[in-house]
Amino acid sequence: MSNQETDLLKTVEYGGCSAKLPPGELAGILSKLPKMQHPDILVDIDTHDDAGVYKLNDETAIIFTTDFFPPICSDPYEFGEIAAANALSDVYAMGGNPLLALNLLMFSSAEMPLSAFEQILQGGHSKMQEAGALVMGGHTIEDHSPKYGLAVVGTVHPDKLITNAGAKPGDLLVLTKPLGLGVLVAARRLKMVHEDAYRNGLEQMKLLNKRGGEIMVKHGVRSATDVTGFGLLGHALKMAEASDVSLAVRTRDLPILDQAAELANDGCLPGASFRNFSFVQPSLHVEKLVEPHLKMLACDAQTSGGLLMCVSPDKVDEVLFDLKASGLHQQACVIGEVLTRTRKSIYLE
Amino acid sequence: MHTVDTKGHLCPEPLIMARNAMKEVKEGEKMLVISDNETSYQNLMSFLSDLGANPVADQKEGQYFIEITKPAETSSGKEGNPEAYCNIPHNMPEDSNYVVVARGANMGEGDEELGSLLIRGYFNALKGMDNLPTHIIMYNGGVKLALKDTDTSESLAELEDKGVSIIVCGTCIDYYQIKEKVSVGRISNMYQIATKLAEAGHVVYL
Repeated sequence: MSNQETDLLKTVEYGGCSAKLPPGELAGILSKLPKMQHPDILVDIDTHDDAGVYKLNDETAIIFTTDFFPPICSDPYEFGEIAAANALSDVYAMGGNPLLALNLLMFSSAEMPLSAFEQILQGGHSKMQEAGALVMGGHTIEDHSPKYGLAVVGTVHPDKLITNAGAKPGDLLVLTKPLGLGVLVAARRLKMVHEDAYRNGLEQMKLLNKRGGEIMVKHGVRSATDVTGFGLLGHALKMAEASDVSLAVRTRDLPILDQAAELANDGCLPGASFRNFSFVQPSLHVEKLVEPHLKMLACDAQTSGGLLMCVSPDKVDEVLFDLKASGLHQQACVIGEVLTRTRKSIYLE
Repeated sequence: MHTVDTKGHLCPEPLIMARNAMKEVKEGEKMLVISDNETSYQNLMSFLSDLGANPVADQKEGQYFIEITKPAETSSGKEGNPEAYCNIPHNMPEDSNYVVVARGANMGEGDEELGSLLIRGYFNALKGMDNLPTHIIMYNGGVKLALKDTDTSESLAELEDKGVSIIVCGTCIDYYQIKEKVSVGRISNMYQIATKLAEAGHVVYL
């Protein structure tokens, strides 16, 4: 954390990944753009995956991605850390190693002290160092509220690429980080969250998905996505559609951040949860016994959320063992399974 | 009537205000929630429906007036301990906690053509009922009711859209080699089927 009084959270109404455009409207706009076609494009926007992937040769493909957003927390240094962890996440979700990055920063020197500018970049660079990626520069423009993120290039062996289009019926769904980050941040603004529960949420957002990505590669996982602004169910839906499968998600098994379930039950549900729910609703069946606040937590917009992996049943014990042994993913667990495709993409139980 | 004025507040505050106010009134008592923001209004309607508060809205001069009824709360203190969760949500009466089981593609024993006619008639009639089951479970020959281009699968799809969970036995569709033809329902294993049957208030066998 940095030692200053700047409160970035006061500059925005919607921060982090909850500031995304509504998913349905975005899909409509993207569908009107001319389609890029090239034999070496391995993943494009067609499957709404985490990043674009381009094959350079038989040994190497590059993963190319960017993410940036307005403040999700008060402290500039921590905001930088979270934005960087989030930008790197797409590379890890595809089984890759981050290589290069460029800063993208919007900041108004008239509205905020320059020390906050520096702290945001310091926080971002600390995470890039942790990831072993090289920051090659970037671009800054004047704007208020601040927005920060990075464009990241990673590499992966073309045969080991992990996409959201490879889920197979019978696979089990593993989620590596607890849900409820959107709820906690909303509660923070309203001073409803305990300090330690909020700090715990911040630590989860700063946590790189690096170890989770390495564990997927080690155990030959072929399908995964990271959970960010569209919530668990929004990203699960994109995975179900890309893989032509249905998914069952068990709400009682969802890992949830401390205090988030209680807050959600008390109505502390950010607008993004409802937007995400509307997006998935036509493709979703909700079992009658599902607790409503758990349904909404499954739609809660996450910033720098965990990996949602499809793991074959014979590998799942080892994957969970490695996740927990890392000391970073104590709440990682199986939350559902992949099914043969039927008329609903997601069965919430 | 107890009134909650959420005008000027942005989400999630209106939801929290409504939820807190509901704690102050008695079960079955009516309350009024006022909003001046369309998004907040829509989120309130969704949230209050989920709570079983039967929201009814009226719009006047850019303001939304939502009348709600406080539901009976049977599942208090449920946070933190999954074992404490009540299987019956507070908005579900006891008699609708039932499960329908289709053991074959026909209803009853006897003539098969008649049995097929009867089961199609049954699901058609079920669609129109107020008291719907929580689940319809299909096993053995019953899984054929969920196949593409059958009128039973269309009825089952309508029931699924009304919130009834359709459970299809995975072992059975493998045995009959019809996995690719199942159009409706969640394909399940015997453990899940056994769990649903054990949790059901009562079971109706066709």
